[in-house]
Amino acid sequence: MSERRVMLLGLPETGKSTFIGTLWHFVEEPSIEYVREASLPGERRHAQELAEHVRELTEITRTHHDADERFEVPVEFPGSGTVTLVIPDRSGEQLEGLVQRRVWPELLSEEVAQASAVMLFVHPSVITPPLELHLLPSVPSGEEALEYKNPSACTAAQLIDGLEEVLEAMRDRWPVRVAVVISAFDLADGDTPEQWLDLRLPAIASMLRYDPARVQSTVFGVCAQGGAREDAEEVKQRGDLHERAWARSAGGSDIPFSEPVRWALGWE
Amino acid sequence: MSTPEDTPAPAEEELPGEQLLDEEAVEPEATERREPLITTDQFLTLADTEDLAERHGLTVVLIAGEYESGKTTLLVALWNSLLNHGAITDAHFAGSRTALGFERRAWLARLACRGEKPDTDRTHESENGFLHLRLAAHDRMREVLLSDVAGETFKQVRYGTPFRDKIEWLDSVNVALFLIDGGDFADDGRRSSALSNTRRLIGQLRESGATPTVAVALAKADLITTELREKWSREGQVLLDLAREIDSGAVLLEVTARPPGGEDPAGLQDVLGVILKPPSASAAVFQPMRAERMIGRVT
Repeated sequence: MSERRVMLLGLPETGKSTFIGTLWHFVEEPSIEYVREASLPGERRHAQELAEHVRELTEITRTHHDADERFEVPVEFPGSGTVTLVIPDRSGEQLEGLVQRRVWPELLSEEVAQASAVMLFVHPSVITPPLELHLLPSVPSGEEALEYKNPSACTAAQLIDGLEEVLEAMRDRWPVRVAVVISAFDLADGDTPEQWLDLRLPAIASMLRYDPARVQSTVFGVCAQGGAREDAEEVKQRGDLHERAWARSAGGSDIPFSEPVRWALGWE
Repeated sequence: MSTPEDTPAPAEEELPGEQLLDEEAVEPEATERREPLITTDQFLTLADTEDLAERHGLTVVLIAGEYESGKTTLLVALWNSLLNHGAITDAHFAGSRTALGFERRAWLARLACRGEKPDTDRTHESENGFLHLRLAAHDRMREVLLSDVAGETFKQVRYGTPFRDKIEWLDSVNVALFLIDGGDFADDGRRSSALSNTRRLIGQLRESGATPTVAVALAKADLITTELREKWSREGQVLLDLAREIDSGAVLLEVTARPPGGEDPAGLQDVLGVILKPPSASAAVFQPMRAERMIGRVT
């Protein structure tokens, strides 16, 4: 039962820090038995502060979710083993840099080199679809078309590009397990996580499904805060964080909040 | 290698020496400037694809045609369909090394560009290269390299420059797809030269001795009126007969990559059907020795 490392990846504002904050709350909650703090060295301050923000539905500041410090969270799954969850430094910016500025950030390289598996975060409200021009009835004449820049690429293309780079860098660990985590899944309008990914990011769903020698994947939906920050008072009345946060499997079944991590490690 | 448009130079000398002594003073972006660049995004050369060739073997597709015959628009239509549906019939998307290259070519037909009407940037010879699709079809994984070669290159071939002089990777081509512009065919003043130019291109490939799978595709097929159908059947057959001197199984296709009413493109499944057809015994094989030979630019 050796220590494994799971790397959390995603474009900025896709819910990585919120997930960690909630997971840490579960780790510290005495009534939760399926996940607990691992007896490994490491800084817990960030995790505790994140948990506090998520519990109170207050904004997670840049200092916390994109800190210029290595951010590792060691947790234990009794009977299975321990895992260090890693959010690479300035994690959203790292993936953004990889995709948009075409550089391999050194710190991201280091994390990719050590990672056993990947959790890829997607947020329903932070998706740029590849909408085509003919969908617009009319455009005022005289406007010049904007110039293409890599940040203009649709979300699916950015994720495809980032995944290609990361999977290639993990070639010695193929097939890489990639758990897709859809954050704020309470916004998903009744779809199961698998249906949502097939509908909203079909190329990503297909890419992760049809190359099993390179990548093995499943998809989860999580609601890490239990509701929207704007409705904080109402959400908090639903109970403490471990009572209101939830996670769903690809097919829509309720599962323990930590299950995406277990799956990524092959500890189903 | 391809060169991103706005990649920061990876030069340490851009940073003042005194800042290098003080790590905290170094801007994050400046730190990244010293980190490895990713150079394969806008297009690939064969030299970039040797690992792909090792994994599944490559299917190299030459898309040939005149200026604005719809070569790049066809690439964009394939990309958009895969983005929107994850598959084109039974060809399932499994990855791409050139996602951003596709996006750049798709940009002028995207709502986000705020253009007046869908358009496609012209490909310049300096950008000649490949876009990559990994497709799972018929229980096989295929690494497909789709050429994006400027019309100027084919004009030179049509004028008499040997195909192999302009397309140095010709012997690696598995599938040659000749596009003829349906708009030109529908125009009484341009039909004759459109047919003649396509015949010349096919003839030049025959003269080269290369033996890829061949298809002739009428692009912008929605522009062919009912009255022109019979004419196209007759003229298309002439092109097909010529193509069958290279490949006895050559086929005639019709493609509407960008329907005016915004419907889904038509004919893409037929194009992929030709590309993904199991290779024949005589099919070209990717030759690593040729990998350093590239089209239009040098790494």
